[in-house]
Amino acid sequence: MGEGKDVRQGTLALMVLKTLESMGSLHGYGIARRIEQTSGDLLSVNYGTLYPALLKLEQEGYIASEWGVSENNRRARYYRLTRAGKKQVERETREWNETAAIVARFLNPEESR
Amino acid sequence: MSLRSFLSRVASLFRSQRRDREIEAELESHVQLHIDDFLRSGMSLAEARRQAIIKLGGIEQTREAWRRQRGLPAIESLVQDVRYAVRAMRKNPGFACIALLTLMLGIGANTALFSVVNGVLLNPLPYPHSEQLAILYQKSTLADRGAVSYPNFLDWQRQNETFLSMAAFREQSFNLTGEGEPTRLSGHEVSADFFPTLDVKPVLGRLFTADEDRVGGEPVALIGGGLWKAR
Repeated sequence: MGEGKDVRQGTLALMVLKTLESMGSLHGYGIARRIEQTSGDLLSVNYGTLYPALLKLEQEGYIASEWGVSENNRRARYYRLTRAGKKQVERETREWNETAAIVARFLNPEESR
Repeated sequence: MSLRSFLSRVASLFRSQRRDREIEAELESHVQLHIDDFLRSGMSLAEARRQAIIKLGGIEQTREAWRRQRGLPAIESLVQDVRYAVRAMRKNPGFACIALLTLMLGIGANTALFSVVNGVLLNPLPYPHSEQLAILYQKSTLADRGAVSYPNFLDWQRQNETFLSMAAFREQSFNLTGEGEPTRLSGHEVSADFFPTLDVKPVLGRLFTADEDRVGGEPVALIGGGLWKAR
């Protein structure tokens, strides 16, 4: 999340879910840093926008959270995927790939033939 | 919004204070973790804190955005408005009384007027000249609107100079037998001039005659179209 592109609504949710899927349990700051690193510092988002997104995912039952202690002994709220969350990752990944494939056909009509 | 997240947001209306304290602590912990990282890269504490808050996008702004997601802002502001109104009224009971009285009179007058307009203009009884129809009662020590005895009714009818016509009726239930399932019917016993008074004519057959309207007269009945079709 350096000086790059904005993240679209909904995309952030998928990034959070995917991050939690690969990292297990993680606090908000950790998720933000991880998304930033994974994107190769191409994304620019205030870390703060993550918290409403996390709350929304929690309300929908895709993630759960509890207080824990970080590596450097700081209290932090840790998030993890629920079973519904794992299904949601699969569903959203599939939908995202389909959308991307369709858009790609329009952008590169030659190659897709 | 899914049902699940809607319920979660409704529930949050009732335990908002605890959750608010939690986001407070969570954001503080976020800033702290970020500061730790900045310190490791050799930044001064004051600068690290400043940068961490900038990167977060402001603590107050984040908390606001979080709150909008947490509950139902429309309902929360409604609750706040109601609380404010109650406080203001308590502070100024005289004004509150006058306001309440004004509302009561206003609503009462409107309701009364509407009932009249609704009955007379919008939904009049389905008879010709229904505005001339009235029900008469007999006042006694027992009831203001009591039933009229039949001899009294006959006296009224004879001495009547006010109404074009007078008729008597009484609610009554009847048994219908001899044709399919026996049925209990609700209806009325009426005097012969009941239908002429209402100016109603039957679709089939005839109305009651004066000869039938006396003790020992033939028992006759007039039935509605619904019962006629059903049987």
